[in-house]
Amino acid sequence: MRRAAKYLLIMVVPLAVLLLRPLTSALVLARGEEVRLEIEPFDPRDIFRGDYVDLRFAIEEVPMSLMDPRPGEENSQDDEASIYVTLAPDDRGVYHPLRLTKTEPSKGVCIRGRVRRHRSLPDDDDTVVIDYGENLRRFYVKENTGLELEEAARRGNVEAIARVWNGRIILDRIEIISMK
Amino acid sequence: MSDPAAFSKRPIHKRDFAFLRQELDYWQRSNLLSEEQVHAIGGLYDPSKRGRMSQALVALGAMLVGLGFLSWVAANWMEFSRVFRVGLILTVYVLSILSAWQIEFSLPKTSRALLLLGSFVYGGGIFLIAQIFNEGGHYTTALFWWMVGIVPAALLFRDGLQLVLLQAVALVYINGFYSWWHYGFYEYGARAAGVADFLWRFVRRPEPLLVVLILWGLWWFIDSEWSFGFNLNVFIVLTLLGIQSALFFNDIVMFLIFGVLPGTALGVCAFGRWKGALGGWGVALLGLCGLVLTIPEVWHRSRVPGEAIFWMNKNLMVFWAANPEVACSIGMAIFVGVAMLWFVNRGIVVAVPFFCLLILRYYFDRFYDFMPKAIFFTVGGLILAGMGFWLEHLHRKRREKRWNAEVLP
Repeated sequence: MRRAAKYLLIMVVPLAVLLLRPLTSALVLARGEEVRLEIEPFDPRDIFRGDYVDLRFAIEEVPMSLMDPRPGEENSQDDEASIYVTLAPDDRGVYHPLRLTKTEPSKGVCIRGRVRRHRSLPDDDDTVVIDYGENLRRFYVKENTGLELEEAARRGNVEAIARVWNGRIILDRIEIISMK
Repeated sequence: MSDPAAFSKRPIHKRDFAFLRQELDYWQRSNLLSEEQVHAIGGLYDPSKRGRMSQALVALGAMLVGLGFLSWVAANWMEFSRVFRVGLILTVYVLSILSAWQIEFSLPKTSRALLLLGSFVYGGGIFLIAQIFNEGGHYTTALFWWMVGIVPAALLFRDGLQLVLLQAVALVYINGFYSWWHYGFYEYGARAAGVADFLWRFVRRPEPLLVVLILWGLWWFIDSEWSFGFNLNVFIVLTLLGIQSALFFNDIVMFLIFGVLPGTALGVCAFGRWKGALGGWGVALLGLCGLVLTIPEVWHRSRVPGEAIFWMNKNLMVFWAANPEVACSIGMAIFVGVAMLWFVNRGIVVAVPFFCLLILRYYFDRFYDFMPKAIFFTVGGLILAGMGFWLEHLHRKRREKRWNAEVLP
């Protein structure tokens, strides 16, 4: 085999992996609509990728009353199936779940997720716990700054800015907002 | 014959050039080469003119510049835009490979090192890009893609260094894979169904097994005589089985017995070109697991001594029932001792230190507390020296045997 071909061939797979793996995330960040979400992070460390904050979002637990159709009705949602969560902003511009549907709605900001489980608590609405995938679990931060974010989160002063496109959501940045 | 002037001169150290000239002269005197050929070969090389001090200073300066650049990048990494960060990773990777290509003939060792650097940059790039886009997921997924990217380089260049990197990544991958995904513990598999269930987990999630098979295939393709690659592959297989059995058995004795039995089998069945290596691994496995099983306290928490009583001869049962842990540990010590002597006789000298350890383990255990220290250390030293002489005697016997086989008809 010619020398040039050998060297070019060994680059094909690595370049494909490095370029294609983040392609979806890059498209969402480039073309997606910006949404603001409430979070409650805590601060662990990934030995391979660095410091990150593990995130939990208010949109992960949704009242079952927002499901359309309701459980028990014809064509209602099964556990572990895909689900679409339509979001709408409140007065502060923070997005909250508006409706849960089995099919992708034709308009509005929506994210695709997977029903992880149903939760029933006494004196409270039944809720659905939704998994939005790996891209909404953690946010990588500069070393030794995670604690600062955690502190701010405990005071309720942290919001995540994400981008949504085609049912996919990618975290863009985290902001510490002024004291409430 | 092609014109040597058409080739660019290969740099060579003055000392190496002097050796080359000396050998060329000898070949010419032996009528192996003509004067023209000697001159042509010598003309291919350019002995370095730079002194060592200047070379060292240049190298140190280059290293510091590189370190400075890396420090700047690391300190400001999160401030760079995503596009810049991804572009930097891709650029460094491509430059490494292209540089390796450029200097393939003039500096072959450096070329190989740059190829290896490229593989490292690629692997690091996978994790960095995940960080850039805040992607989660288990690290074994990234390791899997890293291995996939290294395979072409290992195959096309038949490069042992790439294979070693692949093996190192595979080792971490295998360890991480089953720790992330393992299902249930199973009671010790004394029954056939237990063994089948143990093997079934490799069928249900065969990814690590496939990785191991690919590693063996690559080793065979690159250099089937290469012992370091062979031994590393054996180590990876043993790690895979070891981790799985550690997760499978919730009884430490069963886990250790699962090391003793395959170790013994490996030592007994080792043959051919790799008899020494395979036998060594088998003996090491038997020795490590077996020595731990000579400790009665290890058997204390296990169900095995109690269960084994049902298989006992009635005459042995009296002693066994009174001291099941001691009986088991003594039984294991006898087995390990006899096995090690047998392996020594078979020419697997790795068995000697394990036999010595077995003797010393009991010597320390029995005599340390009551014997005067001076006598204890003296006797201990005599035992060790005796074992050393025994080992030397074995080596000499092996050398004589090899000499007789090769030289005498």
